[in-house]
Amino acid sequence: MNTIELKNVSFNYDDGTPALEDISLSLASGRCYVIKGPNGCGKSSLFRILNGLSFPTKGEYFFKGTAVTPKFLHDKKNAAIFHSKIGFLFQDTEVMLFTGSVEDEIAFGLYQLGLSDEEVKSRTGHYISALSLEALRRRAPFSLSGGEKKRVALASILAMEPEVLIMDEPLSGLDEDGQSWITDALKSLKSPERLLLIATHNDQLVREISDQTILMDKFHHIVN
Amino acid sequence: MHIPDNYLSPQTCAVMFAAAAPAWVISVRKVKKELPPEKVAMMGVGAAFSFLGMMFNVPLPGGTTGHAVGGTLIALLLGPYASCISVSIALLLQALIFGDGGILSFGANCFNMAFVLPFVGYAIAHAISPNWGKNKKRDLIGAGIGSYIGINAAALCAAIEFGIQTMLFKDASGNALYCPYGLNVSIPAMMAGHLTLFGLAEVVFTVAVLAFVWKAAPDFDNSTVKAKTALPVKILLGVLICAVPVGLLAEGTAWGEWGADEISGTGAGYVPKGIAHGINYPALLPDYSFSGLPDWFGYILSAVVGVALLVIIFRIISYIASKGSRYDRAVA
Amino acid sequence: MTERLLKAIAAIVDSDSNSEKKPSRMSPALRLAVAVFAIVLCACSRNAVFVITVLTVELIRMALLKPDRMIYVLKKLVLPIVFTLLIMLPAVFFGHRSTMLTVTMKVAESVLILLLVNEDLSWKEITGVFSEIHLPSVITMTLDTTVRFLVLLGRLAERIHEAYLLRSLGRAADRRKMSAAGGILGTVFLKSSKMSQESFEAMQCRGYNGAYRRLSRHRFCIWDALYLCAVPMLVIFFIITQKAI
Repeated sequence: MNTIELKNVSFNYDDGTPALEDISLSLASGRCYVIKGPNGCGKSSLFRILNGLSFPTKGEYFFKGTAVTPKFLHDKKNAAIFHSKIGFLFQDTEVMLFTGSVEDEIAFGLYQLGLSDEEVKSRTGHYISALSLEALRRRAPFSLSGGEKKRVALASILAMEPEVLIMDEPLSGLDEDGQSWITDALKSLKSPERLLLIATHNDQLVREISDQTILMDKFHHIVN
Repeated sequence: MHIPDNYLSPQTCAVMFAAAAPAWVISVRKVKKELPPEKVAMMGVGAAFSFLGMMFNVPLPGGTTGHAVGGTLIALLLGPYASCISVSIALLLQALIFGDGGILSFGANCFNMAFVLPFVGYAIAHAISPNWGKNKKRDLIGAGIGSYIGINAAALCAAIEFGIQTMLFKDASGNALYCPYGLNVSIPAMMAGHLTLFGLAEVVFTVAVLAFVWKAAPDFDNSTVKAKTALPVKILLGVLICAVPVGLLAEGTAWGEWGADEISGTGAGYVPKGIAHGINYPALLPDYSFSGLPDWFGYILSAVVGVALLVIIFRIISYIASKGSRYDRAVA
Repeated sequence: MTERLLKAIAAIVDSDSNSEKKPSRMSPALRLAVAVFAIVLCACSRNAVFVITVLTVELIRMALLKPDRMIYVLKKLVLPIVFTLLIMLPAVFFGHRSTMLTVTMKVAESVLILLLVNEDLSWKEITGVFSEIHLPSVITMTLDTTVRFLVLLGRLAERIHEAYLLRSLGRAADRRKMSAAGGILGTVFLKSSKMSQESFEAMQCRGYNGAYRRLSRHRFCIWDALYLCAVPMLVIFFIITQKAI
């Protein structure tokens, strides 16, 4: 059984324009997939569906064998378990950072997991040092630079220790140093228990990290 | 419209806190239960907007400032309960961090701007356009008139709170203890500005943003927590609105009598020599008596004040001087 | 207005990136509570000695600040004092001779106390107080998002305003300015509501279930105990001075 299974998924926007047409995907744990495609090919819609923010107009989405439907996620317990297993790095990291300080940002997800204060503290501390954020610990996320924001957003997701990591253009808006830093970080994230799914235009990142490349065309199909 | 500290008596402030408290509690409950969660996230945007509107402020004679609040706008976009919380939070941040509006008068400020304003504005807008969302033109007219009346209602409340101080709180010699102007001064002073300039600013602020939002994003979700309030809540709110003035009067007279009795018997006006030196205290502070405290206390106090002031002045001068010399050296 | 807004935003961001400002040694909640308590007592006091003494203590604290902060506090203090003096001046001729000084003195005292709280605590510590006293998470969350959006809105409004100026080649007629202001505000509103929508989705992705808490909880320490002593001292002194009238 693959971790993520999409069966003949189509998705239309509210006004009826298609964003995805008849997409089938099967993604296995322990691998790193890279999605490439032109702007407007439906990547964002695909990611929204995978994260349970939107639901297929047609077709089905199975996560670890369970169908992800509005009804399934309406149950708070199901939603909590589902979201704790998938981490999603938004393209615009600004929107992901909504608390008053870096450490609160990382702790936010951990509190949602229902961990004890002590656990939250120690895990937050661990990920702060893992992504070398010590100096920024008490800073407000909105006053950080683009690269720093990316790191904080990444830390806040990794701290929840998800099995699946989905990243939308993790290198966008970063300078060269930032890009190589994130590339190295992503490489170190590859593990047999983890599934990585990354959308990027950066060929070097594809070369360095990809186990399999998924190409999408402008007609909202998957090519290969 | 921010009332600073010490313009209102502590008693008035307490009454106003008591009046604002139920509005807060009901609003938080309503928002938690009925506002969709993604709209809850919008409340911060609303508060930031209100904060923005309040920065257009102009001092008004009579003791306060005039500005737009945006309470009606937020009420129309997110519902009056959410607006109550948003404006309260904008006021809280201003009082605590930016020093606009007092801490003690926070209750009064919230009652005026976070409770009266959005609820009145919202009610009038919906009264003018009962089928909200059906006829955009009519909605906008309703929003304009609602926001105008809303902000003026709030200004009137503030003016009354100011104006009754001098009726209620006086010392033995008839000097006002807080805001010294009666209703005959405070109401014209407040209303002149709000009926014209600030009322207009609020209308422009409300209508311009609403019109733009509806034009640019016609599908902007208009679902709000409707002010369809349960009857008991309505009664409670009604009683509150009526009870506040009564409470103010009752509290005030009790304190006023006590104050006058106590003070008239104490020989106010006597000031020990140590303090009276130099500054003409007896004329300026007749209600403040130093009697009963030992003279040495006055001496020590004035010595400490002097030392503190000297340290402040000296350090600032040396700081400026060192900055200047560094600059000179850099230039040289 | 834009200038004031940008200044306010700069103050928020500066205080945040200022590495010299260490976290408060005493509990922020306690610091704020004592400040508010002192303001209440001063407002209630009928005896100038009490108010002047509190003012003196605050002056000493101010004398201990760094000179640049002193100048900042003084600047902030002058405006409300002058404003109050001007407003209260006519009352002197209406026969309220003492009101002007009484009210001005108390206003100075309230404003100074709050300014010094802001010197001791960062805005984050102040807003943090409200999550510490267990207010509903709706309020604490809105408080944090308000500060965040204030900064974001300000930057956005500035950018849009610049873009507008560039396009209008600096010849914006006053009449058009009004509608442009509506457009800028409207755009900013839509943009920020879209952002808040996405932020909410990001929260959902991290399993948001209504919990909104701050991480660092202050532990009661010796500084708190010392500071707590200020309360009985204030009360006793207040009673003595009120009796002395």
